[in-house]
Amino acid sequence: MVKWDDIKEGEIGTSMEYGPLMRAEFVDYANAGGDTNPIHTDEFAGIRAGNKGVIAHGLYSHAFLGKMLVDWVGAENLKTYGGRMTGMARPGDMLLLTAKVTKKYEEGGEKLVDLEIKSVTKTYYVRGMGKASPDMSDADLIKKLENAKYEIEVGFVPAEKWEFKLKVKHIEDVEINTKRTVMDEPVVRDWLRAGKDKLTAEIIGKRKGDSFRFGIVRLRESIGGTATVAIPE
Amino acid sequence: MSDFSALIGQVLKSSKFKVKKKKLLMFAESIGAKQAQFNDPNDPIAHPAYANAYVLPALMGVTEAKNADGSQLIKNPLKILHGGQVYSYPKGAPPIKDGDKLITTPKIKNIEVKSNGMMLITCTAETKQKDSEAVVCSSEIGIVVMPGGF
Repeated sequence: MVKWDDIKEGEIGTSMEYGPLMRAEFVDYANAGGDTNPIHTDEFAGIRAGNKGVIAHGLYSHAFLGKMLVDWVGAENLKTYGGRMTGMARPGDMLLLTAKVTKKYEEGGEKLVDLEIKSVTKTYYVRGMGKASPDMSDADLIKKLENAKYEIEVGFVPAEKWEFKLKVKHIEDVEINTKRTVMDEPVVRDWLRAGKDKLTAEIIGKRKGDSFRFGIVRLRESIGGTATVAIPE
Repeated sequence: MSDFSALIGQVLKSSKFKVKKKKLLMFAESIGAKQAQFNDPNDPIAHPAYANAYVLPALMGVTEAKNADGSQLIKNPLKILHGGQVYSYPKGAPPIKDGDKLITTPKIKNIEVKSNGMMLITCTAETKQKDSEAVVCSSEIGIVVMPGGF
C-alpha cells in the first residue's frame, strides 16, 4: 500500500512494464473495448491504411496507464488521467509506463498527487548473446554495443533454403555470438526512421560470468499526459 | 484561415452504450487487471479504463459536426486519427455495472488548423447513467483530421 510520506515530488511514484505485445491481445482488446477497426488486427488492413502492418490501438496503451494507476492507489482514488497519443506501438514492442510526481498537496480533506504520466514504446532491433570480461562495466559494455556495426545478409536460391546471416563488426574486448543473435530485419526495414530514431543498447537480465544478453532498442514516447490521484489513508 | 468560431460549443449527437457483464470481464482480462472487483463473475464493476469503451462511440459524433452553412465539417472520416483522451471521475460517482445504460454527450471545445495542415478538434464529453442521471465520467477528447479530410 502506497504511503503519503514515501511520495516525493520529482520522483517516480509508480511504474509498470508490459509486453512484448502480441497480435492476439489486440484482437482481445478490440472485442472487449469495442474498437474493431481492422487496422489493429489485420496486417493488410494496416497496410491499406498507410501503416506498415498492424498497430496497437492507441487506447490499448492508454488503458495500461489507467491500470498502472489503479494498481497503485485503487480505482476509487483515481481522479483523472489521460494524455496525447504521439506514437504507435506494434506487435513485439514493450510498453514502459511511468508516473512521475509533480506535486503533492492537500485539498478538500484529501491527500492528492499530481503526476506526469508517460507510455514509452520499446522496440527491439537486435537481440542476442555475447561474452565480455566481468571486469568491464555495464556502461562500457553498452557503449561498445552501441558503437558496433550490425549488418544482415540475406541470400537465397528460390528452390532451396533461405539464409540470413548477421554480421557484427569486430568490437574490441567483446565477442558477439552471431549464431545466438537475431536482428529483426522486418522491423529495421519497415519501422526505422533513418536519421530520426535513436537506438540504444541495454543489458538484458544479469550478466553471468563473462556471458551477457543484450538488446539494441529504440525508445519512443507513445503517450504523454497527466493524472491526479488521491492517496488512501 | 477558416473561422470555426461558430462551431465552438456545438453539442454533438449523444451516444448510447449498454454495459454488459461479459464485456466488463473481457476488458479487465485484456489489460491484466487482477482485482476481484473487476473480475467477479457474477457482479463485476467497470475498470476506470473501461471509459475507453463507452466514450469511444461519442467520437463518432464528431463526424456529424456541421459548419455554419450546414455542410459537414469532416469530409472524409477515414482521415481521422485519435489524438488523445483524458478522463475525470467525479467523487462519489456510482460504479458502472452490468445492465447500466450510459449516455455520452460530446461538445466541441476548440478547433484549430495547425501549420502542418492538420486539424485538431478538442471535444469535452460527459457520460451519465441513464436511470440515475449521475455523471460517471467527464472526458476531453482530441481528434486529429489529416489534410484532405476537412
